[in-house]
Amino acid sequence: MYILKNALKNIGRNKGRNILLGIIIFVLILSTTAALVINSTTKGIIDDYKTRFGSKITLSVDFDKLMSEQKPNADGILAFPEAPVISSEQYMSFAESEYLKSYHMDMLAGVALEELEAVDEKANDVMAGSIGGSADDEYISPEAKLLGYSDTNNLPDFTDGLRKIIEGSLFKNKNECLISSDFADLNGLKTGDSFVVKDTASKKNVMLTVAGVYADATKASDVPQGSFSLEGSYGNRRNEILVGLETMTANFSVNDLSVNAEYELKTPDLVKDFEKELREKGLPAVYNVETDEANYNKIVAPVVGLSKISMAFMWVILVVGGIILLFITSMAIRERKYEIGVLRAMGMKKSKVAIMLVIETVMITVLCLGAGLGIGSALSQPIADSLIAGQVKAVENQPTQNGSINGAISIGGAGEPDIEPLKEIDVSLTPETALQIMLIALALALLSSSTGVIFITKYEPTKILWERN
Amino acid sequence: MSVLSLENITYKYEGTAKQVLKNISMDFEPGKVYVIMGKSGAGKSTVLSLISGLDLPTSGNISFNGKSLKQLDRDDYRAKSIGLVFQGYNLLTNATALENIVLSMSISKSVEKSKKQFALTLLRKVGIDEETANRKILKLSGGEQQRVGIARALSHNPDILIADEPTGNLDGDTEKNIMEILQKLAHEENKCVIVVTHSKHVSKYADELWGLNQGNLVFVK
Repeated sequence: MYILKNALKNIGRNKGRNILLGIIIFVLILSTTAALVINSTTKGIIDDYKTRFGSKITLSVDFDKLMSEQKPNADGILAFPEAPVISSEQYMSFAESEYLKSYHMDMLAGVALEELEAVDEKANDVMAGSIGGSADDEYISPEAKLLGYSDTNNLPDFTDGLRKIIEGSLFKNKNECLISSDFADLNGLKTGDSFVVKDTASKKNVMLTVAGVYADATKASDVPQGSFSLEGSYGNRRNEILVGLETMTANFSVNDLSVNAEYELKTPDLVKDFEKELREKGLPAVYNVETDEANYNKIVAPVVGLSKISMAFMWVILVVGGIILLFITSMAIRERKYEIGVLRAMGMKKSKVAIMLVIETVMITVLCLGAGLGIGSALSQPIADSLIAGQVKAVENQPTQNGSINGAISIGGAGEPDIEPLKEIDVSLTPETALQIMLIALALALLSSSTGVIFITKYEPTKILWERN
Repeated sequence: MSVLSLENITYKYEGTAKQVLKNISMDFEPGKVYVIMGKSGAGKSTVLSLISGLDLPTSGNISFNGKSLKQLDRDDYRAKSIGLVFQGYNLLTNATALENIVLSMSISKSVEKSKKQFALTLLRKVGIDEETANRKILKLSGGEQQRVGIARALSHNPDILIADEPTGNLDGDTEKNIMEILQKLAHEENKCVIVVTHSKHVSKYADELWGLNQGNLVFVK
């Protein structure tokens, strides 16, 4: 106990030296706090985006590979090769992989309405209703979209509030559907009614039952970016008939469907294992198994830069500061040689003298830690804002890649969204970061008291006192 | 009955062949003032370093109450069994006189209930009042500092008081005063007081006077 008391008194007895030591430790902790707070926040953001982008897998045709397999036909003309089709069974078997956390699959089929009228059907008059040929070969133009979804909890536009079920409920069984209120009103349909749609490819009729009606606040022609659209009723979103995936696979050939499959892995590092499994399950070699790395890189590039800068800054400060700290403490210990000699001559054990010196430094460090944590975390937000602004500027000045990813397109998927890099982050001090800073502060305290401890173990009191006398 | 014995002590500094102390033997008893006189370089300070456990002899044995210092915890021995008074006082200069005494008591694990009160009593005994006791060492005169040094040496009630040129930095009156305190401690409180000095004035306070010359210890009177 007396060691603690004496250590506390010593802090006040040697004000000048301890204030100098305190300033250095404070600056080190302040800088470390700002750097670590920024780094831990950016790391969290990077990990989050990595998980989100690195986990989402899409299957896309590698057209470079496809074209390399191009062969001339009987007439010696190079025909455009067709990509092998992935069957709906295959898509579903891929979805059963143990590497997946979830999957999302959409299927689209163009349908004609036999006895019903489509919203905006008059626009179809300007287009050919059918293209000539024999009755069997007759091309039937689609009047509406039949959309099948695997994930009924996240139906597009419903989660955003643009669409809302106003009558009935979500489809649960095969051949149940949701229709828009405009389409329902136009045709006098209500929940429980059935109607027939014709698959424009197979010309097969499919009987659907209305499970619910939704109000649609989306723009009629506001088709998702990158989707294939036609003029007329087919492109009008009020004619979208929503069903479960089961309805699609039961009534349509996968060859006639536009499929958009997205698989989400449990962790991003399972990509290779998942791809291996898909190949074993028959995924053709012409398909690529891809993550959205380009968008990930685009979004997080400034944050990655910020993270690197903060860590480099911290290490430079710690190394330079540590050297200065060692220098100051070795000078200070020369001044305290006599005091140590007296304490030893009075019978204080080496270990206790060492503990006393360590306590003194730890006390100073604790004071600096309190101030450094508070001020450092407060300063980290403006520092982060300033640094990320510089990083965003640097990223924006970089030449952009022209076009999309070479030779690869996503099957039926949306085009690359207009993704903006992260331009601001909210930094905050987490308990983990606070703990890291405390450990660094403790290391600094031990480093600065190490000179004294080494001195104590090396010298005997007689030597110290004789040197003075 | 001797409290401290030196048996055939020799001492050489590391890496040198010259013997600073040559086979010296001596017994110290409680209640006496021992004065060891010698010129500069005669080995006086070395004798004190050895008997205070700050260093060990090259050969021979030093025993305290029959136990060799080699077998004792010498930090513990210094903290509890002996009191050291130095020519240069060796006090903590940035602490007060009172703090010096209290810290010394703490190091020796004194069982006094109120260390502060006991320290003030000791300081009064050597002529330091409470106001002076609360002043920093650097603000005290040489004589006052040496009194504090003596009070500190007594703070853990040691059997032996070892003083290295205790009056070396003091004027005649103060020297007299300090030596009277030491003499009183030996005769009235049964302490064994060992004083090493080159001052002839100090020798008159000795119960036993010894001379140290070229590493040899000789009984004078």
